[in-house]
Amino acid sequence: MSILEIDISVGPVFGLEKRSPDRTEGPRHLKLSIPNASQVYTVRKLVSELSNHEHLAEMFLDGKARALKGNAIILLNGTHIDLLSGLDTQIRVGDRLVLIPFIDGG
Amino acid sequence: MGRKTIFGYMGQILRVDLSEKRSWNEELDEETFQKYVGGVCLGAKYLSEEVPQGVEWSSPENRLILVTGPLAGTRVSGSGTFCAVGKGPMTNMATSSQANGFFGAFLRFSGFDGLIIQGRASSPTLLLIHNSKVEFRDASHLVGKDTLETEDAIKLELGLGRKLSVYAIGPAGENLVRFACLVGDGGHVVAHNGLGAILGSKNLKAIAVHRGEFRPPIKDNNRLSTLAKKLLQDAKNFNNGRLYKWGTNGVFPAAVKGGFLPIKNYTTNVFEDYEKLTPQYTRTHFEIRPRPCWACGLHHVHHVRVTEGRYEGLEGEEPEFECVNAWGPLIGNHDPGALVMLSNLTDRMGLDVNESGWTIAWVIECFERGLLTKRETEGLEMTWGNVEEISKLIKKIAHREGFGDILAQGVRYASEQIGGEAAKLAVYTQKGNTPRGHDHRARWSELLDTCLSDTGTIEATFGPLRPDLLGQPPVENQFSPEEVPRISAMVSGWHQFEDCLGVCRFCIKNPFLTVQCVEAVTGWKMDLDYAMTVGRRAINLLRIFNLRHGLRREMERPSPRYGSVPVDGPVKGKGIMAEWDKLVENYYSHMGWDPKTGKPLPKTLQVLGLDHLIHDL
Repeated sequence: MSILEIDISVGPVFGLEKRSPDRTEGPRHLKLSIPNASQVYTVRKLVSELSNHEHLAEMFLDGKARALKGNAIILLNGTHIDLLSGLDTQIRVGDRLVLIPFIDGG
Repeated sequence: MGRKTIFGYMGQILRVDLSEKRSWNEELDEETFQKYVGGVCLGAKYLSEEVPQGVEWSSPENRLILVTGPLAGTRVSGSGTFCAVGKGPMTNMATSSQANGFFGAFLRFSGFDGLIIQGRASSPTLLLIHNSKVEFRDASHLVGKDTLETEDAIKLELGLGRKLSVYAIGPAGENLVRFACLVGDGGHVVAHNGLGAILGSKNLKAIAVHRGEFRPPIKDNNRLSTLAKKLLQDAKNFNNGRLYKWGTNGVFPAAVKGGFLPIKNYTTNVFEDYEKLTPQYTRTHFEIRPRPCWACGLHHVHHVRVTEGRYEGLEGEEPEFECVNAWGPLIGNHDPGALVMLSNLTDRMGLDVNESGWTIAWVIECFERGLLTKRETEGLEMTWGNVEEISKLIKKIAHREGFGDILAQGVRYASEQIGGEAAKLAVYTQKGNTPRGHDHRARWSELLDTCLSDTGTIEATFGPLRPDLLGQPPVENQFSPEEVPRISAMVSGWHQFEDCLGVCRFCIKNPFLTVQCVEAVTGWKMDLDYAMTVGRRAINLLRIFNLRHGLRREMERPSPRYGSVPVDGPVKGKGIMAEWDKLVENYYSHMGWDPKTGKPLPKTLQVLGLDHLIHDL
């Protein structure tokens, strides 16, 4: 059995608030431990794991299909995963992932 | 009024001829409303029918068409919106731009679904609309005043205070700056493609509408009430409540990390020390209070007072995401107080913040590289983040003074005038307009949309592609030359339908509930297909208008810098131009247009009920 630990930065920075920090924004960083992970681990598997984390699931997964929301961005070591192999991009121990819950408009 | 009631509508348009100082009402039948609904689609119909080939944007024959929609002035949140349509100066083609506030609701309460302005006044004029009556008032004493001063002066003069909605031009519109905008209701903006310059060309300083006694007839008030509550709750929860909590600038931290923040005129995708520009900082350090639009429970718009730094004590509208980008990363500024100063100055002068930002960022890059010197800038030290010098240049543009006169034509014209290496550095589309304040090289769908749109700004998209909101699978690859145009075309029409309704886009994030609201108001049987057809009708009407007015395929491209390859950040090394022709042709095909020319195919027009335009092609 192996344990894969991945640092996840949940996109936007919070905790800058001077007053009344908003606790509902959730964690800024998260270590996700996945027991029984094989040597080859993909972003697609990571996305399926998010459904076990209520706050992350709400932020990143489509309610019915549990697929990654179309407005989310994932960076692996600073590069957009769509420039790599998309959801099939492989993750290795020590990689740095950034998950960005995309926001519309502006 | 003695007419047959058309649920959801006042049933008439107000027509104003400034040359003849005359106005009259034009009734519309229910069939016309069912086909065009309102806003951009109804505006596109009038523009297409009344502004023929050869009429320039500054001609008295050009139209300024302001249209609301069936939800305007109802209990649906944010229903004070209207859509402005005309032939715009930046592209010299069609434009469609929306503004919120109160004007859309008050126009309906004065008895009209829309207002069409034609001709040119012989002297500066204020148009006052009051319970279906129209007055042409002298506005000579308002000339030279900025947009907010003008609004305040008119409200004081008429003694109507908050019962009056005023949209006005500032010095930029009076001086026919090509990217002049129309500002009203305390800082809302009809921003894109120079609609303020159209008012200037017509000698129209301001339009004021009184909150009259009329109300739109609603078919099923109980159903609308229930749906409006659901829609508001959905908008508050949308994207984990970010807009509700943080306003449009809630996207800023994601933009920093996602690579779609426009930084120093696209010279980099890395922006350090950005934290003070986030709303998590400004909304908890500065003094803010909500300043909601008509009937709005989302109230993302706020008033702000700067409480620290060089601009402490300054008050004004809280800068929205577009303003933060233009006067933050784009010009290399990290001071949130300076953002408030520059954003409010831009609004007061009556300038579109996007074009202003791109123009000044280009000047700065040229200055930093030695392509422009103090000789050209007339002594201004145009370096990154030099906000005081930038504020001086904004005023010079609005008044067309010296170097500002060249810049008043927009960044494409100015860069072509300077020429040489400087010409390669400007961000614009080959139609002549500039993008919103984003780095679209990290968001291909919006870069494609900005270049192919017929409105002078985005048309098919609004931020990232969201097929999931329409019940479709999400995007798999945001840089695919097949998937991006296919899904862009699939969702194309929805946002144009939104712009037919007279309600703020931020308040109607659930398409299915939105369509049901229109049903409740009008009594019509409606579904998503109906809505999408109306939106696509608007798109095709504007495209045919543009084809008549000179649109060619080679104009549907980004400038070299706009389409350049990012040198760092999350999409480093990925350039869109290698795929450009494929993206364009795929989009044309999926839209039912000729894949080589972009002209709508006869079959496409037939399906949309626009058979009468086939002969145009």
